[in-house]
Amino acid sequence: MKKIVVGVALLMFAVAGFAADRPATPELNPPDNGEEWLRLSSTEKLFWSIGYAQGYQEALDKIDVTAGPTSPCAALAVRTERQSSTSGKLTGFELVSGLERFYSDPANTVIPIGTAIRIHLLQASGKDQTTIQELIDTARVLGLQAAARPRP
Amino acid sequence: MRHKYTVVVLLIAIVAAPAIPLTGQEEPLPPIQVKLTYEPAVVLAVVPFHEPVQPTLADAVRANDFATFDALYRSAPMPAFAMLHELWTFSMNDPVGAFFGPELRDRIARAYPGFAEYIEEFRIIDSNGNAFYPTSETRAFLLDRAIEGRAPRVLLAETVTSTPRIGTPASSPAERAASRRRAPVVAAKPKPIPTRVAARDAAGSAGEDAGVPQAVALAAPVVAETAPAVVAEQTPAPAPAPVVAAPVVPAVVQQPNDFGSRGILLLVIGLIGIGILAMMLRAPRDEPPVTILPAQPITRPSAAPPPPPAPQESGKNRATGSHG
Repeated sequence: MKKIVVGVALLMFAVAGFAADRPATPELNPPDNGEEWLRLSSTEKLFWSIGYAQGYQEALDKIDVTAGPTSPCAALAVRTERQSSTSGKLTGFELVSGLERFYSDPANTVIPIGTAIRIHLLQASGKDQTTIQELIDTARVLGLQAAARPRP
Repeated sequence: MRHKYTVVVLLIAIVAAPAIPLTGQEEPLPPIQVKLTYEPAVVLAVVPFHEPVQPTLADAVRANDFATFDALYRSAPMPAFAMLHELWTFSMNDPVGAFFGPELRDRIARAYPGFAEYIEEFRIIDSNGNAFYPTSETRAFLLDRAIEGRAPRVLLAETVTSTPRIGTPASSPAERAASRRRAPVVAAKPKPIPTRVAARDAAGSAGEDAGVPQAVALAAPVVAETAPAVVAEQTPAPAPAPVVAAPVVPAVVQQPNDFGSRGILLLVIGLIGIGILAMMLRAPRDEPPVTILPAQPITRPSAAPPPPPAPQESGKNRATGSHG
């Protein structure tokens, strides 16, 4: 009987310890496309945008470590990725606002969010509207195909 | 008799013979016919006819379709959607339009009671203490109010009462126009604005770093305060209504809401007065106590008056009817 009581007490302590270890921050499911983006609250959108920009920049900074300083990946990162990354160009507020603007067209909601960010950056950098529209049309087609594919 | 039975049996056999195969097997399956697909020589374009459904403003908002909403609103503006249209247009045109500052929040809160409590839950405060309010949740709130048919409260009363009224109804139009032109000068006395609020409002965008634009923003409200007065003085002879309305609005926004507090004070004083009056009216008067006893002196039962005399014609039969 004594052993059972001790066991139950240990179990309760363990449960309490696990509960205390859980992070207090809300868990956020990363959105895939505009449909999922629009389901987030504004606070979640802002947190996600800040995290996306920070994570993207950190990944770019470490690409020479992971892929090697003279690898094609590093060269690609220097050549293109740094130019199209959000870090240093957009704040979290601006990124949220840009995505809100982009997804205010219901036809764009199928476009993956990474593509939407790149298109928004190109728009913000003053790319010509014809090229932007071609990119949007292509992204819509690809987004529709991706949406039709069953998810793993 | 036997012959009859034979005939009946024969009839039954004749009738049932086709249904029962002699071999005892089931009927063979029908022959399979290969279906050939024929391509029609002429293909007529048949398009299902659908009634064109005109989306409403609420549908466009629910679908997050700004282009449709804007087009619908411009074609047929509805007062209930005015604030929503203004907010969404701001959101689409401002670089950080997904969030707005306390100035716009105060405006919406004045127009819609209950908004301040609603948006408090979604407020975001950055490390510098600046508060930002999301446009998306505000749009949802305004859509609900618009569906309920509630137009934003017009703040015309506040504008009129807070501005010093110089002209009287009997004044001539020229005097009234002159007094209106003078009014912003009085109202344009700059109200001390907290540095942080001024920086936020002047920046106009929620996403900027509050540490950077503060130096620029400090000067902006001063210009905004004094601008209406100067413009009003230099305007030679403006049309009364539209020209005056433009400079008055920013000045009114800066002024404290004295009308509300004064009205509440008057209301409280009036209620107290009514209460005192009611207490005075209900106080007991120095009147003799009301009694339920008769005013005549009480007499003993023995001294009661004799019963009334019996009617004289009591012995007679009472005549009934008019013919007796």
